[in-house]
Amino acid sequence: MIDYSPFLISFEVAISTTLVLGVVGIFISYFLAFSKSVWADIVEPFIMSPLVLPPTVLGFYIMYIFGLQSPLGRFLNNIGIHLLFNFNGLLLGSIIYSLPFAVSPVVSGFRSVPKSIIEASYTLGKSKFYTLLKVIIPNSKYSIISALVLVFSHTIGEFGVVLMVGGDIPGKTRTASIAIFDYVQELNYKQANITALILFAIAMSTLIFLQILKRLQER
Amino acid sequence: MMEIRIETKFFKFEINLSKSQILGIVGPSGIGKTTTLRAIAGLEEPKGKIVVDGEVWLDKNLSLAPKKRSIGFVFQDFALFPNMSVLENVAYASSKEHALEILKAFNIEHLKDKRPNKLSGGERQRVAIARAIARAPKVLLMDEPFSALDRKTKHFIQDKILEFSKMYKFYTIFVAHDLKDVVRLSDLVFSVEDQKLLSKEEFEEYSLM
Amino acid sequence: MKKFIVFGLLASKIVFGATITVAAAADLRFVLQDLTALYEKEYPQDKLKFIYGASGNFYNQIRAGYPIDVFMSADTHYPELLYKQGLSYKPRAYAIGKLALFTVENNINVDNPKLALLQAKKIAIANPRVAPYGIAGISTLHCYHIYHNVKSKIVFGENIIQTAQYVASKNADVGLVSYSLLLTPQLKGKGKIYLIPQACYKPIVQSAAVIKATKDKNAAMRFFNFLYSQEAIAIWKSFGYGIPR
Repeated sequence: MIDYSPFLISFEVAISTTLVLGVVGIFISYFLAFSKSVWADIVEPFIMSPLVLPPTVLGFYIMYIFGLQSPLGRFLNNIGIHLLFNFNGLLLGSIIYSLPFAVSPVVSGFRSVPKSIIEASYTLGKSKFYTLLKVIIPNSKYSIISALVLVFSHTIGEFGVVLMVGGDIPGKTRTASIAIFDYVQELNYKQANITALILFAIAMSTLIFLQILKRLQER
Repeated sequence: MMEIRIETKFFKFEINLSKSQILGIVGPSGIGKTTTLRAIAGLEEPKGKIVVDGEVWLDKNLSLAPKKRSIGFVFQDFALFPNMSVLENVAYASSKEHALEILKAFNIEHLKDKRPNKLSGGERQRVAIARAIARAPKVLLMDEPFSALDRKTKHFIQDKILEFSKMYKFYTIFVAHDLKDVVRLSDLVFSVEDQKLLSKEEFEEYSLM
Repeated sequence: MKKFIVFGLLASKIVFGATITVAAAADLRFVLQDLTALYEKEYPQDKLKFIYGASGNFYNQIRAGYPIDVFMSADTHYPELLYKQGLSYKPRAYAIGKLALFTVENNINVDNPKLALLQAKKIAIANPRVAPYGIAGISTLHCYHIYHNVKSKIVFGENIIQTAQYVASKNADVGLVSYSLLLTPQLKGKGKIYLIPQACYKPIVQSAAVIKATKDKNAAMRFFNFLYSQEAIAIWKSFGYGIPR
């Protein structure tokens, strides 16, 4: 008897995180790549910081900040915003955890767009936003797709953060990666292997699909 | 009328241009010619004053962003958009119909669906000039715009620019490091080395070449 | 009078069923399987969901608003803290864990535990910083006055299942592990066992508590009280747990 909910949950979280970070990542990357303000130099290391912390520690601090034992957590709860132990929690944890992967490749991509074509766009009367949409993004397509691929893969394989912030609730926040861990813990190796294989197959299909997309763009 | 007073690291630049006049700036490399052109475009912000047909582009209190200035800029490296075809490049700040007209005038209509990376240097340069003119700007700024063209094509394009300049009544300011390139097209020539406008006699010597 | 009692009992059986979510210490995985089977026979309208993990983690999560109904800890410390903070109802001890010396090696004789520990090349003990069984293991070594002799041979398991696995896979030749784990189907009969005398370590009393934020207090209490029922006690005993008074 296969329980499909972990796969659905993992996939939903990964897709949602990729979509959110796709948009947010572009704006943060734009700021970091093109701002001359000193804030960009201050913000950039902080964007990378989730890489430095062990995932469970990251999860712990998210729980600490948004949980009911903190004033912020209580306030949010009172206005009906619940950010832990549900899908929102998984999304929140994944967004923070995968943020560096959404930003770093895109910043590199943006920085390698030739300055002259960006200036050309301005001299032709276009706004910064129009230039971003029509010149910068199309000329850093590969970096953006790479970032999306990284975010998706990273989120599918995520374990520590989602365990803390999601709480491993069966059918609600038990992702595939956690489910595998649980099966191993109860010495049910058969189920663990089957789940791992299916998770791997889903993830690899997505990555192969994106790889094909990349090749098609090259024509 | 266009009034320009700019101070760069190397020289002071003061000039008034009338509509459809063409100014060539000549001098050796590295002396600040490109910087002057960029300053008029708003890509650099030196001290100075620029007023075009009564509209202030640069003064003590204000420096208008490039996108707010009615300009067409031809970059030294052409700066064509690699992700667009020739037609899309030229139509970027104009309409497709108008872009086609310019391409026809320049005899490069057959290149319209090609990507910039499939063009020769000379073809790219012509597309860059076409793109800047297609916008029908108030001021046409060109940085070494004939560097990749052979003599015949150069003269052809220069004649076209003259035509468009009279038709659209824009001010043209361009930069070259060779006087020969400058004298054929220009009404006025500013020599950076001599830090002054050359007199008619001084540059007529060269106009026979 | 009898009619009322019968009717009352029947009515209580026909109450609307609930899903009861229980956060339980990792070592309870196998005994809870049997307890669940029994519980669901008696209360077929209820559905039990279990989440296994480290009691310390659960404590932090409950404080942050973890939506569970009952917390079964590996100790008494965390439930007491929750009760003091007004996050749970009064905790109650459900079982007393026992420590055992375990080996699958033929040449080690567990009837002389002190010698066995001295002879062993590697000793598996649960991490005392996160598992009460780990504290009990260290305490036992002190009890035999051999702690300093064998200190360098200790291999720490992050949880008691991992600790038992070290021994079962021969990565450690002996281990001080949870006795009840050794009675589960996976490990039963796999090696030699010696029950460490209770005098050598503080009793591993395990408590449970109903969480105040539970969505269905009646259902949560149903399960909670069941843990202390006669039928449950029989199962605890069969897994080698002591029964608190």
